[in-house]
Amino acid sequence: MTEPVPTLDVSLRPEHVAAAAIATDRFYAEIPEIAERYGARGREYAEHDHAYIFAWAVDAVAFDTPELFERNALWLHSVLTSRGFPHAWFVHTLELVQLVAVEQGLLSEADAARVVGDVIPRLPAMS
Amino acid sequence: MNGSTPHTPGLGSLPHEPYLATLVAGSPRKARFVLEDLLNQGHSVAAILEDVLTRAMESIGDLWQEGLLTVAQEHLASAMTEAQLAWLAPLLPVHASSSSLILLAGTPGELHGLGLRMLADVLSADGWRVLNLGSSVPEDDLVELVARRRPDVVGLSTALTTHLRDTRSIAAKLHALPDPPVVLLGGAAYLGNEDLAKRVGADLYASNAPQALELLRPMLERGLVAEDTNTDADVRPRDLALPDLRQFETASAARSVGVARLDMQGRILAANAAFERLAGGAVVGLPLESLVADAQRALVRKLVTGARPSWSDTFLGFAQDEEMVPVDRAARVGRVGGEVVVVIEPTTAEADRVNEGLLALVRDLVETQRSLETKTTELKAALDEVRSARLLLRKVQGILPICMACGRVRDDDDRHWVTMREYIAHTDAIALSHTYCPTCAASGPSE
Repeated sequence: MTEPVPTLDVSLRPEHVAAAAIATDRFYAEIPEIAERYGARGREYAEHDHAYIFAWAVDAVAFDTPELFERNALWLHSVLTSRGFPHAWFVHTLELVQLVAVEQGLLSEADAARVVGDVIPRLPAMS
Repeated sequence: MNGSTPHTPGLGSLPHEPYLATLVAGSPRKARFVLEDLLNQGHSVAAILEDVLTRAMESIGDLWQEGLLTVAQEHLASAMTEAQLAWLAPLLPVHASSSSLILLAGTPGELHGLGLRMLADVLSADGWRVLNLGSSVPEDDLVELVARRRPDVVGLSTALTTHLRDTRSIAAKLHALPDPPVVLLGGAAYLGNEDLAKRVGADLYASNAPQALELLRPMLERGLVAEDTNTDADVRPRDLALPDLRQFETASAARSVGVARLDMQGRILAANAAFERLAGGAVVGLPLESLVADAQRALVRKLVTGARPSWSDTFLGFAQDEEMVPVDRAARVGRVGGEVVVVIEPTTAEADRVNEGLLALVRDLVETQRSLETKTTELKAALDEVRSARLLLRKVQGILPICMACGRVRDDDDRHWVTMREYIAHTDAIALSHTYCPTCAASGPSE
């Protein structure tokens, strides 16, 4: 990861960014190897990507189009795994997003399961 | 998120891989050759834009997604494709000229402007007056401009799904205006899903440029009827960036692009050779208006003298009259450094004709040169022969057979052996003059 961490899009809501920080904290606590592997820049990336994942999930529900989340999640999975990010770590990312989105009141439990949870089994196990 | 986004597949049948290969290799010159080859094979500019450029850029996004290209390579590919658009777009055939105005913009945060630009070019060629604001336009500024300019259609491009909420907000504000425009939505964010676009606020949804053209054509045709009602305030700048003009000007010496500079009254101050050829003769000192068809004059006058110092709409090319050659092509008016400039691009067929003419001229010159070389060789040989003959003649002339006994000499006129006196008397070149030598003169005349 030598490219600069992209700045956050103006369209991302503060609640998505806040949820991203919580999910990233939890992810780093549960999988310490990620800090060793990617360092501080990796953490910035993780928060950045988490913020988008929350936004996709919320928008998919708001527009009643689960494909919005699915298409983007599959795309990000492809981007990350092709650069060496383990498939299992991405799966866990989505599991945490599903949990934190409900805890933070961004999605109902049913919507989180319908939009986020349903995608997890469909992720291609690339690595 | 970076660069690439999900997309709908390309529609066309032209191969885009050769062009894609030049993008990956980062070779703008080869990219140009590939596109020129396609044009020479007779493919339309519209097909090349949709089937080749669009699909190649989608593939570039896929390659980035798979980690096979860096962001820098992706940006280079975008810049290269923009550069190709700059020369391809003026080759789009202009079908009509309408008062219908479309305003195009990317929603806030959108960094993808290439698709918008391509759409702006094809709409402009189709007859629309296009106001392209480019990517990432702030919501309030966009709505305020729409309220002021009152376009017939507002086209909003959205590549990232995270921008759909903003798009919905903008669409709602546009619909609430006293004179609301038709809202056309498009872009990768809709995943080809028209229902989603309608939920966001679309009156019309197009997944690609050709579809947008078809959907908008009825509105364009209504604008054609209203053409004569244009006012100065309706003159819209065309989205052609200043560097494009400089590219045209730089290229004009080597290529057949016509470039002319105008004074503030629209009179031509200077024109390159290509411009005069395309216009059918000398144009310096003439008002640009006088070169165009009657129906175009009012529009050209407004473009040239309009208050906005930016690119204007395309207008149809030059008129036919007794002196002028008919030219049916797009021309553009704009300003650079306070000067009004007109740029016209020849059609491919014309460029071909010019090239064929030049080729024929070169062939003639080569043949003439070869013929001259052959004749020179023949002349040299003939000259050598003459020289040899002369030498021989001198030699022959210098030998006179003489009898060692009687002193008679051989006459070549079949007189054979004659006295020296007789020989000389019969030689044309020598005449005998009777006189005395000094010795004989001293001894007195003989009997």
